[in-house]
Amino acid sequence: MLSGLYRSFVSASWKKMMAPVVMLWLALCLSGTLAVDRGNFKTCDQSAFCKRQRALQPGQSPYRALLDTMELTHTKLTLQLINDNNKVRLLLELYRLQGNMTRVKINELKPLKPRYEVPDVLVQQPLTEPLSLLSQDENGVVLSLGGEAQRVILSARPFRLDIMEGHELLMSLNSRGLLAFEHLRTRKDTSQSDSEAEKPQGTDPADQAEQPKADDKVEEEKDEEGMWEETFKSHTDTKPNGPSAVSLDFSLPGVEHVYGIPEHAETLKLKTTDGGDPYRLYNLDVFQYELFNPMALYGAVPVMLAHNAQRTTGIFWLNAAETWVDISSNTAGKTVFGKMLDYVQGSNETPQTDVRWISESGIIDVFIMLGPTPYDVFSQYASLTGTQAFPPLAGLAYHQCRWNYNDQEDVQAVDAGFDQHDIPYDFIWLDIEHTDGKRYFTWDPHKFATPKDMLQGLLEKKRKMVAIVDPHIKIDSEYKIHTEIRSQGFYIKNKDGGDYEGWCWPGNAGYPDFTKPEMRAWWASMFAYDQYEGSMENLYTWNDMNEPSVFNGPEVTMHKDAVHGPWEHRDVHNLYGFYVQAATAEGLIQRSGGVERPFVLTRAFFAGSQRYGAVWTGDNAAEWDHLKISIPMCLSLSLVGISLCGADVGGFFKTPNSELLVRWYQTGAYQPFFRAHAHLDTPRREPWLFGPDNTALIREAVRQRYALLPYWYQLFYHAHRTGHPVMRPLWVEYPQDAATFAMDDQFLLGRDLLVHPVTEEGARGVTAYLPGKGEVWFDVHTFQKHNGAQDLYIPVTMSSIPVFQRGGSIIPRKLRVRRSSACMEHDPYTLFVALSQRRKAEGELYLDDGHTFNFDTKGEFIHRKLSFSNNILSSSNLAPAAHLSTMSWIERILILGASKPSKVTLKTAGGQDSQLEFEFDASMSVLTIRKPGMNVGEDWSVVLK
Amino acid sequence: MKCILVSIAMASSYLLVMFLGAVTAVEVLRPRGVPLSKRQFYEENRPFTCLDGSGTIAFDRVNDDYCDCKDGSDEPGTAACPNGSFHCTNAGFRPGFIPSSRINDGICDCCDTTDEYNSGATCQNTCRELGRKEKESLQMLAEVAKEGFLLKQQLIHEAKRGLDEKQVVTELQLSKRASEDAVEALRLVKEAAEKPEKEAKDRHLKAWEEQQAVIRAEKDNTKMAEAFLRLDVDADGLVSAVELQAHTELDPDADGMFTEEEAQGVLGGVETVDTAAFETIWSSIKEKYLSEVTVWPASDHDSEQYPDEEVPEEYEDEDPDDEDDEDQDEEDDKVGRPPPLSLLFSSFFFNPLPKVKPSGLYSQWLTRSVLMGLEKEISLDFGPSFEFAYLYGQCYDLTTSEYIYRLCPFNRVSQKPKFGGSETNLGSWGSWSGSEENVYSQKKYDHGTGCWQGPNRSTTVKLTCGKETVVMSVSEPSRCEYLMEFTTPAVCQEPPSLDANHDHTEL
Repeated sequence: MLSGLYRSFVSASWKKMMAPVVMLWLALCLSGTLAVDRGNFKTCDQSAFCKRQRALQPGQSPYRALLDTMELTHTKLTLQLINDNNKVRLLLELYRLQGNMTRVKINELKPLKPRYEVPDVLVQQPLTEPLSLLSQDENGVVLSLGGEAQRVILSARPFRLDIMEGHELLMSLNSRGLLAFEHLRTRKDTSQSDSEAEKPQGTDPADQAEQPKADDKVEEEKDEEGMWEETFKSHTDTKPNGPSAVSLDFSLPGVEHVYGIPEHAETLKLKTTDGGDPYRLYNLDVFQYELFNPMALYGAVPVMLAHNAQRTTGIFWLNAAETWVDISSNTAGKTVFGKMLDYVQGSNETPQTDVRWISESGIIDVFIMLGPTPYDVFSQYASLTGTQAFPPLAGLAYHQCRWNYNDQEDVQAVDAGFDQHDIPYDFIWLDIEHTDGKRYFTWDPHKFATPKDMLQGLLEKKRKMVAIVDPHIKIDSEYKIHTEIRSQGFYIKNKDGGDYEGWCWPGNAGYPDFTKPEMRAWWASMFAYDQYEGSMENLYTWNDMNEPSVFNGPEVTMHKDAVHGPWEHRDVHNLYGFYVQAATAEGLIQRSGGVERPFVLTRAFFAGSQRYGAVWTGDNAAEWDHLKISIPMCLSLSLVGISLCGADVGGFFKTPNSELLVRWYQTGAYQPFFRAHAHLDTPRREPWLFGPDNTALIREAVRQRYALLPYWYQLFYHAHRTGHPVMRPLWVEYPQDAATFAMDDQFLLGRDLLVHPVTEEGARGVTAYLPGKGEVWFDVHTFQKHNGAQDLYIPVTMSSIPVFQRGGSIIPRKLRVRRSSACMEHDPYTLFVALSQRRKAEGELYLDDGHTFNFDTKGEFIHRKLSFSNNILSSSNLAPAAHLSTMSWIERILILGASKPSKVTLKTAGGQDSQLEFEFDASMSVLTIRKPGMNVGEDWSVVLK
Repeated sequence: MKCILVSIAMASSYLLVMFLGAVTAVEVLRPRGVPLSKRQFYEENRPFTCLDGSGTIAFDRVNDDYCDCKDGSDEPGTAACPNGSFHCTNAGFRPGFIPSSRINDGICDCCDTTDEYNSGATCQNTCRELGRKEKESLQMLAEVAKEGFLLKQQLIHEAKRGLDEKQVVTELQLSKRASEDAVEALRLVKEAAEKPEKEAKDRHLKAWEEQQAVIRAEKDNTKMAEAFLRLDVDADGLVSAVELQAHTELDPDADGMFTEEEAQGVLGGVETVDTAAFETIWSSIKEKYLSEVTVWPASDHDSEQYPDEEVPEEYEDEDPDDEDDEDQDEEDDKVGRPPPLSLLFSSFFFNPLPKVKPSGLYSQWLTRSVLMGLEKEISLDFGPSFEFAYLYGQCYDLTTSEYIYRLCPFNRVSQKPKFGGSETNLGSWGSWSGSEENVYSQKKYDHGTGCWQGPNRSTTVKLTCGKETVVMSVSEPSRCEYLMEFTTPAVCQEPPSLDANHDHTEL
């Protein structure tokens, strides 16, 4: 949907909104630009703790490990660190976790009051493995991390951790000495301000970088500007707890490529931040965001992956406060030529990337995932925060959204339009205007007077609806949701103890405290059919504005000194959206008695949000660059566990021309969450409004999506089971091929499909990189075979969607595309067997009922392994314990890269052998086996002779 | 080579189509999903050739749930081909095709339920009900159209009378004598007008011809439907040979003995036909067929001729002496053909000039005003027979829960909050914007108040036939793009009934 300020205007103009919001709009409008108003958002310099921390100079760490405080139990090592400047002691905890991970926690030994530790994100207390002491002297200790000759070297002075494997240094912590831990302190009263007075005014904090002192002298700590109060654009952040920032640096020797830390409108490969702002992680409702910069967006996953040809590692910085990430590299400034020169001249400088994390509050709690492969890192991270929720099949189909479908007749007309133009769709969406005055869980009494009739109409077509439910609650004593939240004390409080109020769509609104388990339970109960009037089983939910967006708040979000029970909003900010989606998903599960899988889309997210549903990239724009950036934005999310990602097809703001719209459909059809969406002020853009040719192009793109749903579904099942991403950067599959490391104009779906969408205006051709020496790739449309490890120029027309199937794979499709995915449930499959150079292929086929948890709770599914070798294609059971009866059968088998057989025989368990008819296309070497007819649940083999 | 059995229970690939008339039953054997008109291509036990000629397959491959033909023609009754279509007979209602992807998808598409033969969906046959409803609504529409059309004739008549009474010519003469300047100005206007005039003429001619073709086709269809209904005495949705026998004019040999065999012959060799089949025989009997009640006027076709006469060119013949005659011509021309362009000066006629004898400066001013008015009006197109002229200067309101919408035809559309607040312009008169077949079915008002970051507001007004002139609804399908539904007698088409004759004589 959209950013606050502007939408508030729209709301205002139509709904007589309140003056302050209109004023905000005016301010915005006068700025007169369509791009983000950067002035609304802080730079590092404008964020006091970031400025303070960034001013620290490397190589001057005051921290020393007190080795005599070391305790080693079989699960962890604890040790005190002391800051020699102020003598404040910290407690270091070091754990070896199962699955090749190391966890480092640092907190104050004796904080004045507890510091926030992020709950609910880890799926369980991580399982530990024993650590053992290898050696110890006065300079430090060496611990064994178990297998693989992995060791941690803990140096005492200054404190530093180095993680080694054999002779290889994998990662160092505090190697640059930028560990910083602002201890909690009591505010000095005015009488103590003498020391301040001595200080010259306007001292650059950099000058105050503390010098190592003699052991016993405790330096008088000075208050710096912004430690106890900070003002940004007329918003004052009272900081009753004073400074509380934490920071740590990581060095990654041998690494030139780092990824992740979404959400940013940025390339897949992260850039160095020297000379600019760090990447910021602070969930914000950013109006018309700009591309290719480190500004914060709607969600935050504090996970970074580092990769080189030998190893992939990851850093998970578990902190929900505002966070900034600096990246620098010793090779960043070098050209390829410069690097070659280094090589030729034998320069022994190893490439290295240095990363530094800075958070405003909380503790340091970092998980170091040691790979070594990309898939190991995915599994390691999944073991901590869980895997992708397995969406209902329909969630992977096409979604039609607009702000707004005006009324029930409009919904009906759009629904009929899809049938009339023979374009499939599964979900139609309702944005905020469907409610009664932006009171969520209600319906506009005139426009949506009989929602159940509307939903029933969709149900009869086997289609579904999503209605928006945002977390800001209209303050209205007649509104049940509000009165209940207020009476139960569930609202977030302001610093003075009253209910926090802010402006959002409904005008004055309260914000429920989703960090409270009782609040989440109550919220979930509101989705019960008897609570949410007009809802039915085919109504699902969309959580927008859950950063949270507060139109009149600092940076369009909540004041950091708002209060969530014992914690400040400052501590929990990036978690808010995570909790909103979690509670909503729980509601959808509960309303069906735990049977049905939920589908919930969220705009704000955090680490672990993958467990609750889908994420989209927010309010993008109808521009070619926005289309292009949808690829790296979703790839970055995929790398950190969130597979169900999509961008608004067509672009939210502005109006796409038909070429851009068609290209966006073609791209979106091959991205996980496939939803068209449009801003209220844009002309209608349902797929049939651009002339018959464009309608046909869009129809074809959507049909390709539907035909491929079996593969998508199987990939999501796999993602759910393993945490492996669905949409993958090429380097994940070709980790040693440096040509792929920065590639983000193409991607893989699973292992087997390579997609290079056309994202250039007026394109006549694209150059796709087909990876893999010795591999072959088949154009999925023409079946033309191409060799791997080459740049392939592909001439394109408006109908082209360059997609290639990897030789060696088997992909199931359902070619009988119908009007919704549910209509295709019993349809037969066509298997696309693409042979490798060695004439082998493998694949899988997964199916279940498509919408319940029975696959999990009752083992009701079919999971087959399909393999081709020695001229025999066979299907074997990957899950013998599971059971499901299906009517689906195999109607056709295409073998790409085949030679002509003389005979094709089908063998089924217990059945007689039978001869199958086939056709052979010699020009493309495609063998088509006609109607083998076996049920997909059976064991069978097809023998070519 | 034998295919193994598909594990899903395939119903027979044949469909025994049963026509159960009241008198007889006819069984037509053809593959499922094939329309009668194509059954000859699907001959049992003969190899089937794909209808696009792309291949030939054994007949047992027709409807065997595997797509063999590129054009999908071998699977008319299954969902196997992505591009196939399925024919629903829909006895009692209109037959139709659905995409084959809707066969057995669990959703009832054909009102006769034949598309869901193996999905477990329980569908009710709703064809009779739909047929009845359609008939009712058609009747109602016809009634509205009939009355509306009468009203339209009145409107046209009044417009004509308005012309007579206002003696424009005199005024024009006055004004011309008044000033050389004015004459010069007029000449300029004339030159400016000529171009659009020519274009307008061509456009009218084209629109008119297309409109007539559509009307002719519609009339023929209506005649056919009417004939079917009349012939189908027992109203079972089928016309039987027995029913046909009552119409001796259809006797092929006209020997006064219209036998049942002859009647069957007329029906194409079967006992009964449904509407679809009737369609195929209609062309052979329509000339002979006589309705008991309707006599199609011989003059019917005359009115469809576009008049060859030149469009009056009053501006070219500026010579005052000619004007009387010309005015006379106009009256004769006006009815039943596209608008002589002189009529585009409507408001001029409707807004009589002051009856004072102008002199000097006043005269100049007057002339200029008239010319400015003319200039404005010259762009207005009041329809083929001037039937929309009555809307000029009028406004029509619709009040919704929030706003009062006002449509002032040929002027503007506006929106005003119900409870105070300023008015918003939703668009000013732009042009007729209907389809090529009927350009007067829709009009567009644009260049309204601008939307921030959006387009200028605009309104599309859809006109439908109604007895009254009313704004029926307003919606905003896209932000700042409004859609208004408006009924007026002015768009009512001549109903294809006995009244047609009457209308013609009256005019």
